[in-house]
Amino acid sequence: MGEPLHLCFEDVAEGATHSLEMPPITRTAIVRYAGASGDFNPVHHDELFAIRRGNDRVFAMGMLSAGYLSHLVGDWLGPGNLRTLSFQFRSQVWPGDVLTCKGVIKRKYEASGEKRVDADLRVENQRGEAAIVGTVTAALPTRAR
Amino acid sequence: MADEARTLTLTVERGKIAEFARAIRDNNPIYFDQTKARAAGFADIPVPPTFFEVWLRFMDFGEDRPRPSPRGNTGGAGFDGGREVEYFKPILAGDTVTMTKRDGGSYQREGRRGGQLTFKVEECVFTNQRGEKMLVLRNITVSTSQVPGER
Repeated sequence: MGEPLHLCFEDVAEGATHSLEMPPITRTAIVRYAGASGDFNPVHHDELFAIRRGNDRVFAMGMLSAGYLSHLVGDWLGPGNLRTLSFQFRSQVWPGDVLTCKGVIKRKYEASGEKRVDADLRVENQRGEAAIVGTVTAALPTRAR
Repeated sequence: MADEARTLTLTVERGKIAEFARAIRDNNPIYFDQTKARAAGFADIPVPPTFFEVWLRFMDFGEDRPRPSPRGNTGGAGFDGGREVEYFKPILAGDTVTMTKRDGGSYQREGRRGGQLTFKVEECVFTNQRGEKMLVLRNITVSTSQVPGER
C-alpha cells in the first residue's frame, strides 16, 4: 500500500508502469463497501438471494474493484490531477479473489495548457483474468513550479 | 419515466469520506486529515475519485431491495457495465453537491458469446452549492436482449 508518489511530468516516461496488489476479497470487505457506498443490491450480501439468481455465491460490486483501481491511480498520478477516468467491468469478482491493479503510461502531451498523460488501466484476478479494463487522463505538475 | 431529470442533493461529510476511503482500502492521509489535505493543495479533505457512487446508490436504494427482475443474475435491472467520468473541480468536505440524472440513451452491440447486448446510459451532472460543475458521470448498465414476446 504505497505512499503517494507525487509524480511530476518530467518523471514520467511512456511505457512506465505502476501496480498495486490488494488483500484477498472477503465478504466483510464487500459489506463494508455496501455500507460506505450505499449499494444494497442483495446479490452482494445475501448468499441465498445471490444463489437464487444463478450465482455460486455473493460477489463483489464492480465499483469495489474500481475503488481499488482509483487508489492505484491516486497514488500514482495524484487524486486531484485526474481529468477523465473510464472503465468497463469484464468479469465477476468473488470472495477469495486476489486483485492486482495495473497502469501503463501510453502518451505524454500538452493540451488545454496542461501537461497531460494518458494511461491504460487493468484490474486482474489471481489467474490473470481481467475484472476491469479502463483508461485515465491526468494533468501533472512540472518540477519548475 | 421518459426524459425526466431526477436530482439528489447531499452535503459531503468528513466521516463519510473516511468510511469510503477505508472501504476501498485507500490509506492516503488526505482523506483522513485536513492538515494533510491542505498540504496537498486542497482547501479541505477531498473525496476519492469514485465517491460519486454515493449519490447514485442513495438514489437507487431508497428501499431495502431493488425491484425483482425476471432476467439476469444481478438483483437489479441488468449488469453493471462501467463508468465514464470527467473531473472539473475537486469535491471537498463541506460541499453541498447536487446530482442531476438524465436518460442518456442506449445502444446495442453483439455480445462476446453471441446475442445482442443493450447498453443503457445514465448521464449524471454534479454541481456544488455555487452552481459550479464538479463532475460529469456516464453510468452504463448492460442487459441481454429480450426474447420476443417475453416481458
